[in-house]
Parts: sequence; structure tokens; C-alpha cells
Amino acid sequence: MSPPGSPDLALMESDGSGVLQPDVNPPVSGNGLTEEVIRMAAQGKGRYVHMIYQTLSPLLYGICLRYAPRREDAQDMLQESFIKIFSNLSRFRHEGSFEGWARRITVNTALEFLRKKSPYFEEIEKGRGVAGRDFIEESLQAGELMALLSQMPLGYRTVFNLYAIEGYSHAEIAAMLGISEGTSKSQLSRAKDWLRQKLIHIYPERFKNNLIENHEEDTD
Amino acid sequence: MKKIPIEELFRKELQNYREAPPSEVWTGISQRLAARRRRKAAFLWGGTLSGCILLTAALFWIRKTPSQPNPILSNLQNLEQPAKAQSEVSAPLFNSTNAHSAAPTQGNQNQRPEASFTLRVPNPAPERLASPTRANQKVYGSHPVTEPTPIPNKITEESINPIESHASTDANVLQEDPNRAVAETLKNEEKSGLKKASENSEEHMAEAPELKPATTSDSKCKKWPLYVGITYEAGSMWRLMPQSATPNAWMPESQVEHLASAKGGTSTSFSDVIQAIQLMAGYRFGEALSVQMAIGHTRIGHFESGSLLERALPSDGRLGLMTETGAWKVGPEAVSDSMVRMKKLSQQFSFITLSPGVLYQHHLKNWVVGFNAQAHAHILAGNRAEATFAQSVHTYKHEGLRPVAFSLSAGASVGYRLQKLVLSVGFQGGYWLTPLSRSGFAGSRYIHLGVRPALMYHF
Repeated sequence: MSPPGSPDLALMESDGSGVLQPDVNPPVSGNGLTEEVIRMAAQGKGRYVHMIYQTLSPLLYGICLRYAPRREDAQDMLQESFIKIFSNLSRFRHEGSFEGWARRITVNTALEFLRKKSPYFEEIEKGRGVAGRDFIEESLQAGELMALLSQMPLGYRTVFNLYAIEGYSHAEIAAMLGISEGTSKSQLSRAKDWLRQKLIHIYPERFKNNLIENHEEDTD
Repeated sequence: MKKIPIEELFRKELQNYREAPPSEVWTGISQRLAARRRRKAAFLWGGTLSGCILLTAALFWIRKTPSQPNPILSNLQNLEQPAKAQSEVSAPLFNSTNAHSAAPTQGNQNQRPEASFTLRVPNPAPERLASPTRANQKVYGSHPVTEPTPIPNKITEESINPIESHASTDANVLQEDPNRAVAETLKNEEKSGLKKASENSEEHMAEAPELKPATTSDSKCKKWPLYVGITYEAGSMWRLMPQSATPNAWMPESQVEHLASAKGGTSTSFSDVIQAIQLMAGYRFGEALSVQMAIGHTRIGHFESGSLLERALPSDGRLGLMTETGAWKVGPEAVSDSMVRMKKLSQQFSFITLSPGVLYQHHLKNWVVGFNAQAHAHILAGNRAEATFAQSVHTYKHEGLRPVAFSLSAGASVGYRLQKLVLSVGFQGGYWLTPLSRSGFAGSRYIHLGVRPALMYHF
């Protein structure tokens, strides 16, 4: 068992000085991991595997937190996602963004996790596929938004995450979740209603007057 | 105040939202990856083992000789067929139910009653009469013998003079037989062969105990040249690389402290030992050469004691024991020398070992001299280390070990054969091709020498 905060030395190599160096001069360019790092990690080199983890884990954990009902679930999702990423490194073709590839794996893993847990998607009546465009103050910080999102019912949250944050279309969401497009749209509509009410409830002074401007417009 | 759509705000703020996960996540991932590697290695070697077993089985079936026709029946058929062609006479010459009761007909594969047959004698053919050995060709087990006639288990007067002893029952038959001359000739040959066998039987049995009458198990010996065995090996190991050349990497199980590395030093008293127990199965090619596969458990241990505690145990700077400045510390606290000096250190690494190999055996009467060579794949099954300090004992687990290590060994043995059992004892020496860990204390290469008693059962 490793001490808290300490990486597992089983996946690292000594630099010969007697002191283990988990990430000495990581060959990372900008935000992305180089092809060399990915290739070495695909070969099972512990140092490079850890390097990928260190680089991607904050981002992927953020994704998992958005989808998971609890933080423990997010950790499980993250662990499962990295296992899939590391197991499939050799399949990455270096044609697109490695980060995007890892994101997709994480989102799919999160959805799979939610699917196994329980039915999250509440069927709502059809015909409400048109969502309003809601406006809120720009001043809300990411932490506040995350806190708000974490309180949202899971069914709404999943569709909202996929549509509003990941940028998937309703057709894609419907395919991913195994629901109809109409359901996806209605879930999104409900999610925004829920957010609107929550914001007014939590921040009555800030959002009472200027929060909502509905536009009769199809959001898809 | 500027207003923006909800979706855009969430997308802007949360699309790249980052939060550091707790360290337990990485611990879990690394453990699962390590477990996957071990499983992969286990599958690899399990597959290799299965392949070897299948190969051995295939070799066995390929080499298995097709069942030979019963030579007694063949002789009888040889006698019968010309007889049918040349004469319609088929009256039995004699019924030797008792006469041949001692003859080993257990191997008879047709449904003819055991130890009971009727010899039908054809019309006299000149060449048959001129060939006295033809009728005498009897086969014990799978060994055809012409002269002398094979040795029965019991030589009795009845078996020597089958016709006379049954004169009362067979007399009429003999009298009625138109080919009495042939019968007489055969009878004389039979008698002379059996008598000669009787005279020499004891001598033969003494000189060549394996020339006993064919039995079911002997038949199997021909069909199943296999053996199984169990071996135990205990010995010492020696490092080929000085300890100071390899850094140590230790991780505690207790999460209380972390011993990162030990700079070299002059260990005063240490010993490395090896113990191995294996179950083996082998296939003999001829009398001497065999191929075998063994599976077992190997444990190597390292024990140090005494003034070894002169060794420094520098830590990673967070928790642990530090001697950077000559002062012992556990974390930020300085402690007395006696608290941190180790009294004893023991490590144990256990492996599941798969060992294909070859064995050459030379037989000197009941003594067997054997030479073997084996390759070993050691799949890591566990490791444990204990450091005993003045006031406490800490249990550690060595991290960074390879999931599979390889070694070669060879040895010589002397054994004694007790029927199908061979008890032997020998020396076995080996060389570890791969170090146990990528780096660290157990990272050096070893040679080992051990004593290996063995017990083998030959089918």
C-alpha cells in the first residue's frame, strides 16, 4: 500500500541515483502528450504511464465529477476510464487529439457506469422539445457551477452535460443513451428549468430580475 | 452586467474544469494494471504449459505403436489357413487347456478364452515338417522367441507333458487323427522346448529379472513410457552483482513510513536461500532420454542480521529514516540510534514456477544416474519483507518486481530403482537470467546451488 499522495513505485523506474523520480523532464509538449510518450506508455513503461495519468487525470476527473452522483463514483469512473485508456493505448492512431480521445473514453465510461447503476432518465411528455434560451450572469465561477450541477437530477444532468458541455447533438445523445431525440430534448429543457429555479432559489437577489429570457427557438 | 446563455456559460466554465483526483485513484489504477500484467503473464505461461502438454500428448499418440496382432493367433492362423486349403480335415490334435495354462495369454486380444486353445493341425506339409521351429514360435507379451520356448510362470509336469497328462481325454482324438506323425512331431518339439526352458528358467530369471512373463503392466510399460515425480530443492543463492550497485526501492504496507532506498554498504552477514517443490511429468524417448514438464512453487529468501544496521536507510524526505546528515530521523523527528538500527531483515519472494526440461538417465542394474537441464519461468505470487528494529518490527512489501523472472538450471543425480519407483538425490545449479526487480535490492542476478531429492514413478 502506498502512502497517501505517493505514486506507486511499481510503475516507475529508478534513475540510478537511488531516489525514484516519477516524472523527471516529462517529454510533454504544451498540453498534449507527445507521440513518443504514448508509444512508450503503450509498451508498459511505468514512468510514461504515470506521466499520462498526471497530465490527464485532473481534466478527466472533472468530467467524471460532472456525471457522477457522488465523488466516490467519480473516482471509480476515473479509475475505470484510465484502465481503458491504458489498455487501449496501442489502438490510438495519433491522428487526432489524444486528449479528445481520452475524453471520449471517459464520457463513455461514465455513461456506462450510470447505465449500470439505475435508470436515470425520466420520461417526460413529448412535445416539449423546445427549450428556452436562458441567460445568467457571467460572474458565476466554475466551482459554483460544479456545485450546482452536482445537485441536478442525474437524468437531466447527463443530457445537459452531453449537450451543453460536451457539444453532442440530440441525435448523438439519443444514440448514446438509447433514448429518443425527443426525450433528449425534453430532458435538456427540464434541466434548464431546474437550473433556472435553483439559481433563483440560491441567489434570489442576483437572478430574480435578469435571469431568464425565453426565446421560442429550437435549441438543436 | 453582461448576460450569456446558460449552455455557453457552463460550457465555457466546465468544459475544461480540472480537479486533482485523490491519490487513491492512482493507487487503484496501478494495482489493477499490475494485476492485469500478472494475469497476462499467467495466461501466457498457462498457454505455454497447455501447449507443451498437448505437444507431449501428440508425441505420445504419434509414437504409440499400433496394437500388434496376437502372435499366437497368427501362428494358429498360419497353421489353419493352409490346412483349409489343403485338407478338409480339422479334427483337433489335442486340447491343451491345462497344458498351456501357464502360458501368458493375458494379452490375447480376441475373445478366445484365456489359457485355453485348441491346436488344429493341418495335413502334413513337407516344409512344415522340415521346419521344427515353426510350431514352437510362441510369443510372451510382445517379444517373439523361437528357441528356447519362452518361460512360463510355473513349470509343471502337466505343462511339460500336456498330451500325456491328458492321455485319457485326448487319446481317442489322437488315435483318430490321420496325421499322427505330425502330432508326434509337434509334441516332441513342444516337450523339448519346455524342458529346455525349465532347465534354464531359474538362471534366466536371475540374470535378467525383467525377463519375467509378460503381464498387463509390462504391456502398459511399452504403451505408456511416462513417469511422474515430485522433487524438492533446498539451496543457497549468491548474488553476481554487488548490492551497492543497485538502489533499493521499498514501500511499506502500513503507510506509516517509507524507506525509499538504501545506499550500498557493507553488509556483514546475510544469506540467500532457495526452496522449491515441483510436480513433474515426463515422457521417455527410449531408455535414456526424456522430456518433462514440471510445475511447482519456488521461494527465495534473503536474511540479514548483525551489524547490517550500519547501512543507511535514507527516505524520500517525507517519512522514513534519514541519515543524510549522519543523524537518524524518522520524518522530522530525530530518534536514537538504537531505535532505527535494524537487527534483522528478511525478505521472501514466492513464485509459481513452470519448468520444461530434459532428463538423461543411465541405468546400471538398479542404480540410475541422471542428468537434467531445465528452464524455469517464475511467475511472481507474493513477496514480503520484515525489518526488525530495536523496538519494533515493520513489514514491507517490495514494489517494482517483475511479474515473471526466468532462470536456467542443470543438475546431476544418483538414484536407486525399486521396481517402478526411483528414489534419487542430486545437486542442482542454476542461473537467474532476469533480475527479480527492475531496480533495487533484489535486482541483481543470482546463481544458486541446491540439493534435490526426488521421487519418481515410472508407468
